Amino acid sequence: MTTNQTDRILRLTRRNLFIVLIGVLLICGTLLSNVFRPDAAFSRWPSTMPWLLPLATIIIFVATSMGRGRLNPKSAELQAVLGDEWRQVNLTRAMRIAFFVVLIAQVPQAFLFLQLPVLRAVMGMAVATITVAMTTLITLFLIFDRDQSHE
Amino acid sequence: MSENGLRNTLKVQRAMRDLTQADLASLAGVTRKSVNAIETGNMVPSVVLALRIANALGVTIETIFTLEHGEIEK
Repeated sequence: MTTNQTDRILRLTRRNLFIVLIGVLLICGTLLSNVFRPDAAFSRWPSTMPWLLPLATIIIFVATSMGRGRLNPKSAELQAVLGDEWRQVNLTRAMRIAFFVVLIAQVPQAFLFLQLPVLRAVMGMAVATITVAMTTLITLFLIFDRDQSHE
Repeated sequence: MSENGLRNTLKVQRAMRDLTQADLASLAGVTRKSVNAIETGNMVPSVVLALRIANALGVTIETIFTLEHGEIEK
């Protein structure tokens, strides 16, 4: 097992998580924009540019699975990263905090969607909850899991 | 006294063998971050990981990890 390879996988997973975070913010932002202002240009981009998401998905898939970005799922380095205890601890901490953030966020969210029609309010609550949960979880994990080593 | 009540001599043991955190991580099958987190007392390793680290250094688990005095009295 080489440490360079392990560090490279760690960097890759952090980068991929950052891409997921941006994707979540973009999609959930669009859905929330649809709930509040369906006529806004930002709400209508999925219908005016329907090719954008599939194209972005294909580009990201190709970029992460070809060439230097390709990972062998059975390699000792990847197994070490996936089963790493420090990462598991950080993920658990991030999940625990995200759970409480989601619970607390329900109150301001309820006030935020109070003036909307029932169906849009329900959709807004669902999207807002998913957005808060995912962004909190990923952001906290990225913060907890940052490199703090000093030999 | 560390927050988790566990004292470790990992840094000393590693230095005695002239190993970097990355070297030890590679031998124990974990990431460098885990080794650093254990050394700095930010993480209490599982028994399996503690045994793997002890095996990698060629010592017993008690050589590396000991309880703080307050924890023993409990």
